[in-house]
Amino acid sequence: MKNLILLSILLIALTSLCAYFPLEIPQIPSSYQQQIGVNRVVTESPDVFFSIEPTSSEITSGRDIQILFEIRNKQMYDLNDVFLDAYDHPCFSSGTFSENIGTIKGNRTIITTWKLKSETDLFMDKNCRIKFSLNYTANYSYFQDIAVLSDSEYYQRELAGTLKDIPIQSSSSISPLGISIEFSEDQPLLGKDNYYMYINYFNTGNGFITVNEGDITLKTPTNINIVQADGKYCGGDYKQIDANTYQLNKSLIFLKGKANPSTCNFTTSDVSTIDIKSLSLITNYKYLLDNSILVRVKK
Amino acid sequence: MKKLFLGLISILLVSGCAGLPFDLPFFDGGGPNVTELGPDIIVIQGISIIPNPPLRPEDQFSVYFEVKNQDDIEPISGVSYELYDTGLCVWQPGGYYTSKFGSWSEGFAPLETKLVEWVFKAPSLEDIAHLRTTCPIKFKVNYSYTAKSQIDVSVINENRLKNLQRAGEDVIYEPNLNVGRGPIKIYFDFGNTLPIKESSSLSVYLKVEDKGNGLLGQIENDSFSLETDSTNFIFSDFMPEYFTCTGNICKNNNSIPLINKETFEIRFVLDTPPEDMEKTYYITAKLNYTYDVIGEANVAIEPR
Repeated sequence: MKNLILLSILLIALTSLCAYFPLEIPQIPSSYQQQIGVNRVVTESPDVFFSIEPTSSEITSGRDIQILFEIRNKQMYDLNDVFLDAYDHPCFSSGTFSENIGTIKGNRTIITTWKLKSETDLFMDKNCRIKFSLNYTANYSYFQDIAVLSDSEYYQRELAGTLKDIPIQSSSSISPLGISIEFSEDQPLLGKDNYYMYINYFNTGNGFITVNEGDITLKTPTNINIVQADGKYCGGDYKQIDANTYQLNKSLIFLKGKANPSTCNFTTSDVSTIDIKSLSLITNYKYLLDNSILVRVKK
Repeated sequence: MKKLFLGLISILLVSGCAGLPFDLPFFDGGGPNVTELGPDIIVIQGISIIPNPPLRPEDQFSVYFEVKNQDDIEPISGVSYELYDTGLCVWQPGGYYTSKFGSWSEGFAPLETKLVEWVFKAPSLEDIAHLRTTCPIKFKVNYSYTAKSQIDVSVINENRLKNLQRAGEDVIYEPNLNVGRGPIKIYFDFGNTLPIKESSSLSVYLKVEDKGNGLLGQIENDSFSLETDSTNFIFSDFMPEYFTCTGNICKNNNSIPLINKETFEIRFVLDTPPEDMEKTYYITAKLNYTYDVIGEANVAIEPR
């Protein structure tokens, strides 16, 4: 009898799995993309706040809908070639579908309004998703100190335990593009030695980043020298422009927010005691943020 | 006791599986999100016989019924009626409608109801040979209507698709199928996963179903059309024995039978245009038809 009761509980539990299961599993909202209020949608990246707000989420066919856009440059540097585009606008046949905004100065907000006219030839109510993209170009700067020590200075500091007291800094502007540099050994580095430098690239924003050939300029300090191997610098990822300047020699492909890192072999120069100089990476990138609104057009 | 318990569990198991959303038109699994309006436009309702049967031979009686336009938005024109079988009973002039057939030239306003009354005379005792009989009073109301369905297709730029996939996003587009009002329904589905890549081929399947209570024997020649909303989104392959396609428009060049209230699967291939990003296109199907709604009243005649 006890087994029978247990069996029945198990069967009832199994049966409950057959009950109407929701077809759409609710999605966990992304930290960058969210629905605010009824009609407003917001997309954010480290440097841009982009919101789209239609006056209504439902209109009668043949009537206009107004859409308010707010684009805020969250950083102090300029965003250039800002272009707002409704790249897919089903059910809306006329009105404003793109706007060249140009430059948005640092910490400024642009507010613009579009009017779109809905189509009249409807035989029943239709849900229409209007998709927007915000394209812009911006610069990203990254600086990394490289400290090179002579053998005597290095071992003296090592014995005294003051190797880590050398101020080695890195700084960068805030953007959806992130670059970090790692070395095959912890800094400070020894002079007249051979090391590897790993340049990592990230997309920390919610949009799509484009970094093409020539978009990154790497300026090395005079205390290091990138080694050419098989006629290539950094495995072919960079090409030399002049003695200390290199440019990206390929387009970066970001997979789940990460691009393949570049590995650069370099030698340190012969220094008398200590030489701290800065390496810079200046990047021009294109960024695309997109979002959409759902409008119900009633017959 | 054990048997009772097991029986109870079986009932629970069966009831748990009821109501699953297996309502997709003709494909297993997946398919578009379907929004469908009601099937019946013109209906026959409230059929009544006065006086109440059984009747005596040579009695006079009336058959009443209402014809209603169930559409709450659209008026319907071209509605006609016809009394086509009365058995041994004889139609008599003198009812509200003085003819066995006719039409309402003014049409039907949304939700309008019109009353029909026909007067009949029951057969004589000799006619029924002193035996109980039934007069089948059969009539039909027919109307012309256009079935409309529309489905959306998302076409995506190849690089955009790659970028989305590289960003780890699930690139899935569930098409939305809007099936208009009326007994004749046109359903679409695709042979490819959406969004479909630019400059590629998209297989489209179509099926017409009769979901009403009346009759439609076949789709008449030149009454069924299919059109995309862009002249760049064109038909590249179709069934030439039934359709002629030019650019983004197809029309049937032959009648198409409905067997067991549905057509066979009709296949088309569309060539997708090049895109900069993503774009939603629409494919619209329209079918003009005349639909017969059948009504019947069986009047029992009892000999004296």
